[in-house]
Order: sequence, then C-alpha cells, then structure tokens
Amino acid sequence: MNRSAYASVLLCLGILAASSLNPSRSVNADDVAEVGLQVPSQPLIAQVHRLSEALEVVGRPLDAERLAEIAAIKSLATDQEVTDAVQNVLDPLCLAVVNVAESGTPTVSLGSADAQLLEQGWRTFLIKIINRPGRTGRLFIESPNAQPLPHAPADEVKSRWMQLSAFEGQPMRADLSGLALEYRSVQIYSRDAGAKPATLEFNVSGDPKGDRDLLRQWRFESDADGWREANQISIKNQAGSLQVQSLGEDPFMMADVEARGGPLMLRFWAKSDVGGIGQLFWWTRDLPTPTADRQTNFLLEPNKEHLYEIPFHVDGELAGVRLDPMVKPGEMRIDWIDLYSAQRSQNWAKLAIDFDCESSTRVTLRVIDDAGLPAFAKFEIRDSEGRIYPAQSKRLAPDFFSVPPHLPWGR
Amino acid sequence: MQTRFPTAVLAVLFSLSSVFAHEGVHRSSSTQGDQAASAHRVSNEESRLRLLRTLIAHWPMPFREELIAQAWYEHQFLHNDPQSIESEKLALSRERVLKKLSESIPSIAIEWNGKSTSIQPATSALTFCRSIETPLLITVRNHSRQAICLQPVIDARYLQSGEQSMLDKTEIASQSEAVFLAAVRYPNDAQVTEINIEFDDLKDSSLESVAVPIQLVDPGTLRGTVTDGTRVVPARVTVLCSDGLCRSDGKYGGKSTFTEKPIIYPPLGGFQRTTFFYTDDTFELAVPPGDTRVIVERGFHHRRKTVTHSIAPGQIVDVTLQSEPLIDMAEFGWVSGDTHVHWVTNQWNVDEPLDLLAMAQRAEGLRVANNLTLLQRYANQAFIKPSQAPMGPIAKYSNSAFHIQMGEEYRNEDLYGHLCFLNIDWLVQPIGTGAIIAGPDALDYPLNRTAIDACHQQGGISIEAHGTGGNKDVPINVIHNLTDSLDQMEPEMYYRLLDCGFRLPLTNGSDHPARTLGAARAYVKVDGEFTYAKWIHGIRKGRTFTTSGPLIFLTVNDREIGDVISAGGQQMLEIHAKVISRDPIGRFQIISNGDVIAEAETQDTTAELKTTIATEESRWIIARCSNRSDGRAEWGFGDFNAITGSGIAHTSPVYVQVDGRPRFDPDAAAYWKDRIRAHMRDVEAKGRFATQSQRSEALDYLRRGIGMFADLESSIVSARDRDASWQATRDRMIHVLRRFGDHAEAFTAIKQLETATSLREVRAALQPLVLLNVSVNPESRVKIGCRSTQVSLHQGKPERFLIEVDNIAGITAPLSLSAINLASNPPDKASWLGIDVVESPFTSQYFTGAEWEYKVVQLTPQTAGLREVRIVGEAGQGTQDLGFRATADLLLNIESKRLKSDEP
Repeated sequence: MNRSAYASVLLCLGILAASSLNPSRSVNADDVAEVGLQVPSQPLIAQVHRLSEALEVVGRPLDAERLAEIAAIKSLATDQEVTDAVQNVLDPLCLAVVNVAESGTPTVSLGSADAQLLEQGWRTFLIKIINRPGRTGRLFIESPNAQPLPHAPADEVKSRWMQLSAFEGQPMRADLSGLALEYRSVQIYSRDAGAKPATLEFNVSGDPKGDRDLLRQWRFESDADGWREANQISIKNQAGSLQVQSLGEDPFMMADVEARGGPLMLRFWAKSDVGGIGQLFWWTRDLPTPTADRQTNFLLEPNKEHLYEIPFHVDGELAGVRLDPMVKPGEMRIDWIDLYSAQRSQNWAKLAIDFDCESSTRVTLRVIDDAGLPAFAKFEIRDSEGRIYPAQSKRLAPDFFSVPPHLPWGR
Repeated sequence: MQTRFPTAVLAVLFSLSSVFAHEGVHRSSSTQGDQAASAHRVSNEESRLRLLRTLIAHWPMPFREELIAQAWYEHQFLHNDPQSIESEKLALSRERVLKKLSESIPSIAIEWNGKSTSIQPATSALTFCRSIETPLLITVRNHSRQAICLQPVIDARYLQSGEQSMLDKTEIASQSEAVFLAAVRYPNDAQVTEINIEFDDLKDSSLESVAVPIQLVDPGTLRGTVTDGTRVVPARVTVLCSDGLCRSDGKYGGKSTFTEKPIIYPPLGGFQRTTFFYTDDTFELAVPPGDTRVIVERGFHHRRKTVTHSIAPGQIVDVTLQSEPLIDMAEFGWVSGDTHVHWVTNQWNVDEPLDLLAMAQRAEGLRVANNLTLLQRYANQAFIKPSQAPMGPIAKYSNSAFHIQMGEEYRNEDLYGHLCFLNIDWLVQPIGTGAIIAGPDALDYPLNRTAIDACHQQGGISIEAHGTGGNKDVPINVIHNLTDSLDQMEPEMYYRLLDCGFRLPLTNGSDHPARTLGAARAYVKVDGEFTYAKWIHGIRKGRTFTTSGPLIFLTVNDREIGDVISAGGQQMLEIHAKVISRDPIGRFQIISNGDVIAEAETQDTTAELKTTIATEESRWIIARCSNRSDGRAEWGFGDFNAITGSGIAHTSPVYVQVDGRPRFDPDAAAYWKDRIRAHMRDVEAKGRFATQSQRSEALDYLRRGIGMFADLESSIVSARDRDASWQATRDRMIHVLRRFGDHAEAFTAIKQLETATSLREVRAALQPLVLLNVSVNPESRVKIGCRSTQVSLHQGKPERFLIEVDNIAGITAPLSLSAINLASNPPDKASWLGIDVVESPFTSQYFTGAEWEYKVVQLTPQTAGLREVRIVGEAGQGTQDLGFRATADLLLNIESKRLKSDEP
C-alpha cells in the first residue's frame, strides 16, 4: 500500500465516524405514536425484523439496546402490546409520519427524530406510515432540495443541497404491505453545513380513484415484462428480477410504452457489476425511433444496490424507451422499473423541515512522491457502502458528476 | 353409516333341533317323502339359527364370537350359500358349540326313549338365583323310533315376559334332538325346589312332564368404582357371573345404544348384546353367588384389570379397580380418534346426549370423536342426525386431552359411496344423494366429487368411509387427489393403490351406532401439544396407524410412518416394527410392495421385528398384526382389516424412493382402470340424472380417471425426465392441475393447455398459477422470488401453486422449501405454515436437470390472520448464505375458520 492509499483510508474514517442511526434525544416519541392503532403482531414483527435487516444492509444498524427491545417485543402476547411497543421503539427514529388516505393526498407530520444531518455525509432516518385503508401502492419520498445540480438553474444551486435515498431493495419491498403500521428507511445526504431548510414530499401510488403519476410499472416475477433484447445484450427473468448481461460495448434493450409526454422520470432499482455511464433513449408515436437528441445519461454505481432516477422530457406522446445499461461487458440485476410523470399530481404532501447540518471533519491530504516532493494524485473516496465523497450529484464544474472526483493538488 | 340390517326378533324361547347322526344329503331329495323331510329340515335349520340369534342378542357371554360364527355357518347352509361349509363339519361345529353352551349356562337334557323320560344330569339340582333373569337350555333327545312333536311348557309365573306362548312347536325326528331356551326369573320370596316342564305333546306320544330339581339362592351385590389412582374415571366394565353370563348395572347397562350392536362381520344381520357396560361413577349390580370375575378396560393403551371375588348370597362386595397404562401413547405424540361416529340411538333417528359421548370417549381412551351428521331415509321418514350441534368443535367437550368435533358423512348409497368430512365449518349440501338415501325421486347428483371439493374449500378432509367395497369412487377420487385418507380399507385393495405410487394414509372409524365407539380407530401422530388441527394435519402427513386393539409402530432407517426416504438401489433399509397389545398378538408382519419380508407368530403381548433389506426398487413398507383366527378371512374380509373385529392393527406406509420415482406396478393401474370401467357401466345404467349434462359430468369424471390411470406410467416418467417434450409436459401438467381441486385458475389453465400448440402457450397458460420462481445458479445455489408479495389462503386448507424453475446448473437434487417466521426470537421455522414441495406420480420434488420446469408447492396455514413468512429454498447443496436473494418474504392473508361452536 502506498502513502496515498493510507491517506484515503484515514479520510473515510473521518467522514463516517458520526453517521449512525440516531434517535431523538429531546422530542417525546409519544407525541407521534398513533392512538388506537392495533396491527396483527406477527406480520408487524416480521416487518420490523426485515427493517432491522435492511438497516444493517445500508450500514446503519440499530443499536444494541434497540435490537434488544425488538427481541423483547417478539414475546409480547397481544396485538395491542406489540403495536404499542413497536411504536415506542421505532418512533423516536422517525423523521416524518405519513398518514395514508383512502384516496388522494396523504397527510404528513414531523416525526420525533432530530433533523440533524452531517455535512458531506449520510444520515439514516425512519419514516412512519399509518396506513389504515390498507393501501398497497408505493410510498414515494422526494424533495425539491434533492434535485440534481447538473443543468440546474443558477438560482437553485444553493437550495439543491440535499440527496435523498429511500431503501427499497431486499429485504424491504417496493410496495407498502397494507399493514396499518409500517416503517421505511430514508437516507439523506447534505452538501453543506449549518441550518438548512428543506421540503420533503410524499405520495402513495395505486390510488383507487386513479393514479396519475405512475405511467408504467415493469415487474419481473415471471418474464421480462415487455423488455426485449436489441443489441449486444442478453436479458432474462430470474428469481423475480431482470438479469442483464452486456455482451459488448453498446448493449441496449427496448420496451414499448404508451404514455403522455412532458417531464417524465424513469426509476429503477439495480445492481451493476461494472461502472460507467448508462443511457436512456426514447421515441414517440410520431417519430418512432430513438434518436441522438432524445437521450439522457446516468451514472452507474458499480457493485452496489442503487435507486436510479432518470429525469427526461418527452415532446409528443411517448411510444417506447431504450435502456443502454452499460458501456462494456458486464452484468446488471434490475429488480423493478417504474415510469412516472414528473409533472406532479395534486397528491403530493409537503413537509417543511429545518435540518441542522453538522460540520464534517476537515482532513488534509498531502501527496508526495518517492523523493519526498509534492506530486499529482487521483483520489477516489468512498465509504464502506461504496458511496463516493463528495457526492457526485452535488458537485459542479470543474468537477463533473460523470467523472470520479479529483481533489486539488496538495490538499 | 353401514347399510342397516333388519332388527332381530328377540324371542326368549326358541328351539334348535338336530339329529344325532349325520343328516346326509339334504335339499336334493326327489321323492315326495324326501321333499317333506327336506321342508322339515329347513324348519329345524331355521330354528337353530333363531336360537343362536336369540342367545347372541340376549345373553352376553364370553364366547359370543363363536356363537356368531356358528350362526353364520347355519345361515350359509340354510341359504344354500356356495361358500357354506360341508354338513359334516357344520354338525361337528354345532355339537362343539352346544357342548360349550351347556357347560356354561344352566342346562338340562331330557331323554325320551318312547316310553319314559329321564333327566340329565340326574345327580345335582340346577341353581337359580332369585331376582336375576337366567337362561335355561333344555335339550330334548328323541331315542324312540317315532318322531315326536312337542312344545315345552314352563310355569308362567317364572317365565320371563310371558313368552311361554312363544314356545316353538318342534318336531323331533327319531334319533334326533331339539334344544329349547327359556328365560326364567324367580322373585325374591320364591320358595321352589323344582321346575316343571310339561310338554304339549302334539303327536300324542304320551311324553311325560318332567320335574327338574332346582336350588334357589339369594343374590349377592357387587359394588365398584374405577379409578386412575386418584379419582373415579369412566371405564368399560365386564362382570362375568358364576352362571357363565355377563351382567350389567342399571345406569348404562340398560341403554341399548351401548349394549346392542348389529352383527356386521359376518353379515348375519340382527343384533348382539355387548358383554360390558360403561360406568363413570359407582356401579352396583345383583349377581348370582359364587365366583364373579370383574374386568376393567380403559381403551387400547390401558391394561385390562381383572379381579375375581367369591360372593356369598346376600353379601355386598365393594371393589375399587384401577387399570394400569400399557403405554403412554401421548408421550410419543400418538392421539387416538374415531373418524366416524354418529352419536344416535340404534334406530339412528334420535340423538344421544353428548354428555354420554364424552363419557364413553373417556371410557374407551378415545381422545378425538368425530360426530358425523348424515341424511337418512326410512320408508316413512327422513331425518338429518346427529344434530346436537352445528359443524365444528364443541368447546364444552374439547380440551387438551379430549375433543369432540361435529362433521358430516356425505353419502350416495347407490353409486359413489360414503365420505367422512372432518374439520369442516358448514354442512356440505345436500348431505346425501341417490334414491336410497335421499328418497325415491332423488338424483345421483351432485357428484360426490363436487361435495369433496366443497369440503376441501372449507379446509376439511375427506375420508373414504367404507373401503373400496361400498365406495366405488375410491380410485377416481384418489387419482384426482380428492381422498385424504381411507377408512375400513381392505389391505389388498390398499396395496394396489400404493402400487400406483399414491401416498395415502389409513384411518378408521366405528360408524357408531353400528359398532361400539372406537371399536376401530386411528392413531395419529401430532407434533407437540394436541390440537384438533394438528390431528388433521397428522392425517394429511400420513402419520397414522389403524387398530382394533394392538398398538403398532414402524420405522425405516429411523424414519417415521408417513416419511419418504430417498435412497439408492443398493442402500440398506433397517426396518423396525414393534407392537404392544392387551391381547396375544398372533401374526405380526412387515410387508413391502405386497411381499411379506418379515413375520412372526406369537401369543405374547409384545413383539418386535427387525429386518434389513437392500432398497433395490421404490417401495412402500407397512407393518401389520392380527390375532384373528375366527374365519373372517374365509368370509372374505381378510385377517388384517381392523374394522372386521378386534385384535388387528395396520400402519400407514413409510415410503422409499429410488431415483425420485414412486413405486409403480402397471398391473395395479390396469386393475383400477378395469374397476372404473365397471363402475362407469353402473353409472351409465343405474345413474339417475336430471339432464344430459349431469350425466356427462358424471361420466366425464370417470373417463378422466381412466385416462389418468392410463397416463400414470408415462406421467411418472415425464415428471422425472430432463428431456421430456413440451407436449408430454403439457399433458402431464393437465393431470397435475386436475389434482389442484376446485380451483378456477386451474380450470382455466387446463382449458388453455388442452388447446396449447407450443411451449410458449403452455407457459402462458401456467403463468397465473405460479407463486414462486426458483432459480438454481451455476454454483447450484437456490434463489427464490415470489410472483406476488401477498397471497390469500384459508386456515387449515392446503392450497397448491406452481413453482417455475430455472435450473441453470442442471442439478437433479430434490427441492425443499421451508418457511421461516421472522417474528420469533430468533427467527425460526414457522410452525403454523405447512410448506411442501408436492411429490406424486405426476410431479416430483426432484429437479429433472432440465433448464426449465414446474414443481408444485402446497401451503397449509394453521393460523388465521395476516402472517408474514420468509420462504427459503434448498436443493441438497448445503446452506450457503446467499443473503436475501435466496429468500422470499410473503405476506399471507389467511381467512379464519369459523369461530368455535358450543353445544346449543
């Protein structure tokens, strides 16, 4: 290992030291506990168990005390006792409480967790979902403060300080279970330090009176659900996901989809074993082939589960999409793909939160060559989950989001 | 319910006559005189049979079974039955029985030499006990050269029920004898020293009356209780008195539901009087003085307790009896149950109180009683009985030790058969079909299969009630996966079903009031504490044996009854069978694929058989024992069918599979095809249907059954062949889906498959039935995905789904799935969900090695409500941790069975 590598390791430790799942120490969780809620204990406990597994997967495990409390819940006798105890344990970790309506907009309120973030680091929170109607759609969490910086209007650069990631991979599920009480995890990254106001937006798909936001879902329980191989690619349904194998440097697959145009968002959950750039092409009913001017790029996160969100704008009526998932031979597993309208329906509930972003620890790196003289170096800084620091989506030129970050010489 | 035999006329005094010499050839006489003699003989034969019937029905004694056998021989002879024994043998047998009778009960013989009468035995007086009804056997022997015709007359004051007028006029040929039976009862204050028997001498042969010296004594009193060591418990008690008769106390001893049972094996008709009575408190009865034997029974798993007391006239003897356990069956998880009880009187149309059932259940050591409602029709009435409670458990009589559950016997007498529906919430209508049961205008519709589907929809199990004799639908139901168990099954027929690769358990039920409660019963192995749901689950798993006494156990390589062992052809199988019984065991055998592979004959009450064999081929292995040597085998009922009498036990099999293939014998399949064809002809000829479509439905069902038996061999091959063509797969999957039961999506898929012309269409048809996707990666690791995250099930109801397999590794290991409950601490097996990859002739647990195939998974939830389960798969490659990709979390929405019912 050379000296540069030593420096990199030290930097990672410095950044991650304070980034565990921390409950509120000042807000009373009883304020958000739902009175009169009673949920069948077995599936609720199973869900809590899966949540604790998921938090471990994202590298933010529950502390030992809380795990012991969850273990104790498993021996409680009644549904009511279990429901109350689960809320007692998990509510202090909740940033927001979403109350799902029979139809339309959910109501949302502040949770009891401290809205404390970390400059240049990730914090994990829980979202509590009260779902008395038993809806089984998808909970979406977005924020205008989490919009990407590239191509952002200059006056929004300052407000786009956040990155938001809801973990929906296994062992969690993309959709709500229908239980009256459910918890989800969300991770929030802050670019800056200090007091940072933000708005979180929540919506639940599958509205029984019509779902205007969700245009198409692709699920791979039994087959490729309409995706077809087009070039240098092999796709196959396997164990509920789509297994994609790139056979060359320009692999792509295509799917027909009919949807209204305008601002759209393609979201998918995937894990790729190679990095690089992915591309999304689309075509319309009046011009039924993908063209170079109707495409957008996205960055591949190699070797990690990742929620890809690709905004694009369609002029005319959408007739199909083409996904170029990789630019070299490799494999990708895609769990699901959703196409949304980015033009918001009225069903999004907003919650204003004042975050307090703790300053990160400044680490100085000096690079010298064998002769002890200052030298050039390339740094790629990742945490234990493979996340790149500083977050690529929150950097502007001369750092480009598509290029791994280079720290300035000497620092 | 058995077909009911006419009630015997209970005559107190009948006669039996026979000749000293061989009767020679009878009924073939050609001369007029011979014809008259033949008619006379027939009359005598009828008299003999009636006398035996009277003894069997009225006078309980220890050798009742011999009397029944003799009556059957007489019956066969009388009715020119081709199976009847030769007349010489019959006469010898009769002589033996009469001798035994005369030595057992008060008897006199009157000898007539043409001039005078004499009495045998001449030396001692007969003893009668005041206030106790006693039989008197009177044999009149005619040593004269002339036939005599007479009618004995006894003082009406002492003859019971004033039946003196019912004395049979009997002609006794020269050198012949006749036997008469009288019931006498002397009052408490009687002071009589002789009994006068006069003869109404119809031929004026000057037959003298005789005075038989008698001695009257006062009765003693036997008073007793049965305890388990700490408290009084219900029990069976047999009191064998000094005069050779069994007598009962008044509380339950006078209750005909308990004391009178029809004679079914052999099918003699009429009733027999039981030798025992039930007690649940202190019993008390007057007994003749002398040695009195008291026998206490508390079911098959308690030793009989026998004590003898010498009771003097006027003496009151108090006894406290305690029977010791023979074996603690509960400790080993075995729970006894009667699958087939109708808690009604012997007339069937009146309910008996459930309190009595609970009492008898405890006395018989019978933990589960399934009280089945049925529809019955007599000439002038129809009724639905028993009707003490709606379907379901009866909380008042159910706890962790005993359980009473209302169920249904669904019957079609004419064509299809009788079915016991257990664990159902609602009566399946119309309860009975066909003219015999539902009335002269009734149809043989709906089909029994429709009723079974309705039973299964409720989470119930359907048991074929009466073997294959009355239940003509058995093979068709079995091949459609509509039979959960077999009662009263003839072993040879059972083996033929096993030879077709089916996995079927044996259970049993008494069909009370046709037999004593629990006379034949099932023992079912349950895991952990007893619940009725676990008992039903045990039947579904095949963990049963059936018995009319002995308790029998079997393991193969330490695997239990109901288990399936996968073995190579050279693998050795260590087979271990044990039996423990209250009675001598008799023949004890281990049978595999129809061959006796180990055998012992013993009069001990415990026995053990151990043998080791090479697997060689796929097998079923059972153990059985029988101490029957009473001729039942000759009567066509076999020695190993527990319903035919006491002393028989038969296990369900342990199955051994070589190369993942079930046992298959083409001759057995051909046999069942022929049986169904014959059945089909019956349905065509006799079936009563309202429309052609009803008839077609009935015939199509049978036709499909024939087709499935015809395809059985090819299906077994196809289900295990990696190179099976898509056409073979399509055809086989049609059969697989037919075994899904009443399943709308399966019906749709079958229709699509029947017209599918490509692999793509086959897959498209099957897709809606797929719950799980299983992929085996090149490293042979099993990954699982759920097609949907939530599925609706019914509590206690097995539900089948398809598994679509993507086997990149090409492995041929068996697939096993397990269900994990994340809510337990730590996560552990979900005991409330049965999850089985189905193994049958039509589908295998084993991967074929093909890259794509379908398996069948069966989910059986035992608990209602929303439950989440994590499904984990394994394919014999160890348990490498693949993280969440190897598991699938599934939310189950389990609809509850109906709430517990109480007795109204």
